[in-house]
Amino acid sequence: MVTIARPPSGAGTTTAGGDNVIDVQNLHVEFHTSLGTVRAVNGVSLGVPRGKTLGVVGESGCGKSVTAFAIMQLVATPGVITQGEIVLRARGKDPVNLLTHAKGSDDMRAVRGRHIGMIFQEPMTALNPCYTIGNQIAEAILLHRTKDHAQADAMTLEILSRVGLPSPSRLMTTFPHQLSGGMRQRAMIALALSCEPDLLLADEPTTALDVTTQAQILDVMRELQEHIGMSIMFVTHNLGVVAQMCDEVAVMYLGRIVEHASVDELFDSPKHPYTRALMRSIPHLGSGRKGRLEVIQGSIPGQFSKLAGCQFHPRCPDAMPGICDVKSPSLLPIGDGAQVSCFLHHDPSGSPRSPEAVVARAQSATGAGGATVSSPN
Amino acid sequence: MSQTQPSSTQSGTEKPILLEARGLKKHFPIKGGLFGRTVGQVKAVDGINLFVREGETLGLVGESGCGKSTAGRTMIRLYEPTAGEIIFNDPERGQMHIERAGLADLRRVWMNMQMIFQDPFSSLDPRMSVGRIIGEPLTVHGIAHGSELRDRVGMLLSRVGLRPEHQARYPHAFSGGQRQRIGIARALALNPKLVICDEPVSALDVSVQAQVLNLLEDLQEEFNLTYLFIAHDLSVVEHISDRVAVMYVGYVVEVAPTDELFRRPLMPYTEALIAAIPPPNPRRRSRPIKLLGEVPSPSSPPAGCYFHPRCQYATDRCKVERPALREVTPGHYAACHYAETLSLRGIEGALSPIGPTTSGSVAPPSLQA
Ligand SMILES: Nc1ncnc2c1ncn2[C@@H]1O[C@H](COP(=O)(O)OP(=O)(O)OP(=O)(O)O)[C@@H](O)[C@H]1O
Ligand SMILES: Nc1ncnc2c1ncn2[C@@H]1O[C@H](COP(=O)(O)OP(=O)(O)O)[C@@H](O)[C@H]1O
Ligand code: SF4
Ligand code: SF4
Ligand SMILES: [Mg+2]
Ligand SMILES: [Mg+2]
Repeated sequence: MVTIARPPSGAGTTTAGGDNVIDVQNLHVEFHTSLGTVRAVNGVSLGVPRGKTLGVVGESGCGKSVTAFAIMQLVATPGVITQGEIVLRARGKDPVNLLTHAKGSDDMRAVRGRHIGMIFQEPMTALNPCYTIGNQIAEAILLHRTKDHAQADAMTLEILSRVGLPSPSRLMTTFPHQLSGGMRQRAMIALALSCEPDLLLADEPTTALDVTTQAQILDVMRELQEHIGMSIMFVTHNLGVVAQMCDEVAVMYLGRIVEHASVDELFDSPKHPYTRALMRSIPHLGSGRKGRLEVIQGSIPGQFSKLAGCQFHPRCPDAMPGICDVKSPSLLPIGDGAQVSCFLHHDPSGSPRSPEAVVARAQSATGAGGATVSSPN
Repeated sequence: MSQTQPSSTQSGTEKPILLEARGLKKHFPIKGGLFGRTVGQVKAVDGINLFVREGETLGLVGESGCGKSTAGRTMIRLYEPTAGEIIFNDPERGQMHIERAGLADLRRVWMNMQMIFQDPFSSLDPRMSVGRIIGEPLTVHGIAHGSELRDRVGMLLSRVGLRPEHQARYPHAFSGGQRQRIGIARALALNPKLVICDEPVSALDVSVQAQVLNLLEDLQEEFNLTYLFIAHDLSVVEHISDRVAVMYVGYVVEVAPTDELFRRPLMPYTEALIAAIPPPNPRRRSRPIKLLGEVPSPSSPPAGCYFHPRCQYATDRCKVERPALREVTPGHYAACHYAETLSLRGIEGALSPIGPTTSGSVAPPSLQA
């Protein structure tokens, strides 16, 4: 009955370098619209360890998808990457900063598909309605892996059966619209994985699916990860999916990473006040009917607003006046492998606080510590 | 035929039944061919039995397309039922058969039963001001107009956490969570007894979802509302429901008090549904049950038990005989021939912790026939 065991998570967070398949440093993406500039990604730094899965969580609009698209250099107009570094360490290749490749260059096209694959919530984003499933996958394989048509067809059949699609040979002549939602999702995964990429960017690939289909898709992803040893950046809202799929987790708020920790650490002792509030606002199965849910006070500021200090301070139950509304915390290691961007956990000068100091701070800020329950809006 | 329903006069401390469906069916014709002839039927709702007690929240869960929304809409006759009975126990006027009610009676039904929809972006008319959207049911039923109408709309707005002066604004000026509040205010305008909430938080962000769930619970207490709460997110349903009904391909296959359903499911599909939920705890490993094949199409469901092609416990009997929904233990209804003898895995099993001692020791559920 037991399906696939998740490998024990690594010894905490990997910072820049190490054996990360991708390292994003200080990434900035802006959308210049007629109404103003949206700073969708505002200094994101994250790394995905080789062969592991990094979860990226956060509320709608915090910049998860834009970060993923920026890695592919596929940010939609009017979006531009204005700053940063994205270093890819593909197997058997020298590290390369992808931002030195032009968006439309052959080099970048070779990276997409061959080294980095992407899957989406809506499979038709990736699938072409005019070609059969088999054709699309064989095409990608011919572009990156072999010039031999018979071999490409054989590889196509193999990947289709690997994602658990029944009668793969029939899919050679099946068009996307002829499949159910769950089957289309598998077809898209097969397409993204056909070239055995080093990194898979998964942007909420199961959010629109029913739980039983989600369980099947997650199983397929784990199996393939084990088989080809790829790394995954998994964007999701679902804490259950995070717990079951990820080794590390990055929490995003308003275009920045506010916490990065191993999955065990994040669930055992979330550090950032936003992470703590987010985890408490979600109903957990098994807790039964339990009255009111905790809510995060206030709401996400408008996308054009500019805020001094910590971006979370207007909603933070632990905010320290004179510090949090003035200075902006950086994402810094706090000793036990995790990284947090919060003055409760490090001094404005950047040195980590002792655990006792953290507790004292939290208590003096709230009286009791922890997020407060507030009225809506 | 089956002892599916307790009689409405059942003794005990339980609250009276407010709304009840008996053998309810809703089939949609499939048009095709040159002359648009009917070439088949989508059996969206195919003979469900269900009741909602006054003041309770009944959760209705099931996979996309299984007929939850159609069931909700047919129960208040937004869709004409194909067959079956729908009984409304009007506390003031006594029993009414909704399926054969005339227009005057239907208006009364709709004053008592309102609906909240999933998509806060498309369910509000963008050309109408918020004041008109919320006030419309009041004007249609000739209950309020002029300054009285404005006052009532203002009160409703503040009750759902918005400002009375928001009346003049248009829906596009509001966020998803705020639009859902507008939809809730509109549903409450006529002081209904029952509100059918069709995936009211599915389109919302987690933090906003928590606010709207809290609001729904507060309003229920304040106005003694009864909810039929349709959702596919089982943790949301577990959080908000007193009892839960599970649907599979147009059929209600299990109904029980929430805790009982999640901990002691009596129907194999419910077991698979619960086992598919990834536990939000990295130290507990998920143990989904591998379901064979796909959900059957409601236009050509299999013979016998609709779940039999995917059920690991199916026997020859299941291929030919469709199980009725029956009360297996008091208050726990299940549609499975073997509900008494199967020992199925509930949430405790599904969320069992990892560990060398426990990881292999949980025996697979077996048929103790
Ligand atoms: N094409 C665009 N033009 C203008 N702004 C955009 C565009 N695409 C994204 N944005 C803005 O960038 C920010 C981040 O968007 P993004 O899609 O990355 O959010 P997300 O975290 O993926 O959210 P969700 O959970 O809803 O998918 C948002 O403020 C969004 O409105
Ligand atoms: N107006 C309609 N006309 C034809 N078929 C419909 C209509 N509404 C729903 N259906 C079909 O009925 C089935 C049940 O749909 P629905 O009640 O919307 O499911 P759920 O709400 O559980 O997702 C589906 O197969 C759906 O395609
Ligand atoms: S820096 Fe201050 S405002 Fe920001 S999260 Fe930490 S305590 Fe809250
Ligand atoms: S009746 Fe048979 S096929 Fe249907 S759920 Fe029960 S055991 Fe499975
Ligand atoms: Mg997104
Ligand atoms: Mg629906």
